[in-house]
Amino acid sequence: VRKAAFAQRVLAIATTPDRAAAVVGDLLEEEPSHGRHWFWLTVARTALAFVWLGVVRIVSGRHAVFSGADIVGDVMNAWRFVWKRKWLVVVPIVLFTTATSLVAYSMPVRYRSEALLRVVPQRVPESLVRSTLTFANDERLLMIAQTILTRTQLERIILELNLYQDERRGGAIMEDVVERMRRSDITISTEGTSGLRVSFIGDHPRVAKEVTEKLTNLFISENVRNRGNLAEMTSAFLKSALEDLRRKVDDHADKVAQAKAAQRSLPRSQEIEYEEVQNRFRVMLTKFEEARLTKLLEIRSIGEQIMLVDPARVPNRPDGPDRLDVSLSGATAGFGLGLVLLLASSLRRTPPSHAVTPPA
Amino acid sequence: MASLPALGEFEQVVLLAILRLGDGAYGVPIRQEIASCTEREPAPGALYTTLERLEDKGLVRSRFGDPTPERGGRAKRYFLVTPRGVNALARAQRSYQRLLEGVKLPGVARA
Repeated sequence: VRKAAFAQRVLAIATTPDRAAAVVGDLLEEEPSHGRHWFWLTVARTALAFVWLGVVRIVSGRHAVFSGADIVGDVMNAWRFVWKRKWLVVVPIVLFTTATSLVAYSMPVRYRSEALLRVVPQRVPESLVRSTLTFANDERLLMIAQTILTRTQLERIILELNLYQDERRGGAIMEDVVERMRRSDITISTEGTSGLRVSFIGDHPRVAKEVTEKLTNLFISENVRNRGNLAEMTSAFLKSALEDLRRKVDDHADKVAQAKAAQRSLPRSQEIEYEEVQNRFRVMLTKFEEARLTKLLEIRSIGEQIMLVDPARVPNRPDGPDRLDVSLSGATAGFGLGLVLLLASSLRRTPPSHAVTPPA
Repeated sequence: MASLPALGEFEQVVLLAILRLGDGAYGVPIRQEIASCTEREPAPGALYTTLERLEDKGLVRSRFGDPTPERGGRAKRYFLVTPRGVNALARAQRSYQRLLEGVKLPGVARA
């Protein structure tokens, strides 16, 4: 009995109560000859079909309220219809606005601190000393960002500044806390080709500033370390290659000296090989010199660097939540629900029937 | 006099089933009649919305019977084809017959 009454209520959303009752009666009659879920599936499909019929009636001008025949009449009809059922709209708006406002005012206030970093080109012309960098600025900045957002680095910041105390006291594992910090609270974005904006959003303004400062310092130091390492490694590699070539040049020089002492000339192929090794040695020597100068630039801090253009500040006002926005969203959702209820209510009215033509 | 509306195939099937059933045409027997004659069981949702549409167009009329205990005290909704419905159906069938003229289909007798 309860099942049938509920099905009848569902169908009565989209058609008149007596028609809904007749449909449910038919379905109850047919139910024994069908499977277990047939009744509810059919109720759902029939309700959807009735809703669709309501939409078609509105579009085709056969709707009880919006017939489309007389615009002024329709507007008056619609106004009377809405006014009679104003509570269908007012109640959802009030309920949704109240609920979302309560949620918005119970949410913690959050503060965002931002800093801007910029890549400053090296202060010695590229024509004199070539840079060791092979990536574009923005790509390189994002690569450094990946390095500083590792679990080790973030965990260190969390422990140093005692962040996310509530979560950690509540038993959250560090991996989840780090993930939350990385995904929700830290924002790193490139600005143009040489700028990088770093921000952190936290529950306290001073903490937000301190975390942003730490992140920017990490950026700067990571860049210096990276570039220093790169210059050092390049220089070391070229030095060992140069040593190899120097040994080969010395071997060839010994052979030439021995041939001269024996008063004979070297075979042509050996002469060509000697010239080639000498040339390679000269090229390698030039490269080694360049690498040495680049290393010198890094040591003297006049190579390309990341500079702090706009340091992190203590935010004066909260970043969120935007309570007015949340409340307005609730009001809009309530209004939408009200409209749906009005539409459903209008579907329960029987549309005007066409005049019956007498038989021919 | 309002012009007769064009009928879809399923609308014709439903009108014919109601005419065949006479006074006892409500949801369940209409569905059964269609299933036995066409070997196609229509979805209840499709049948009820088609009946609503036919009533909107003035092609069928409905009345509620007395509540019956086996249906949980719910009344049956009986349908009757109106004269306008008969006319619309006759016109649609004449169109089919004109189309059939000169066409031989296996197992289909010509009118």
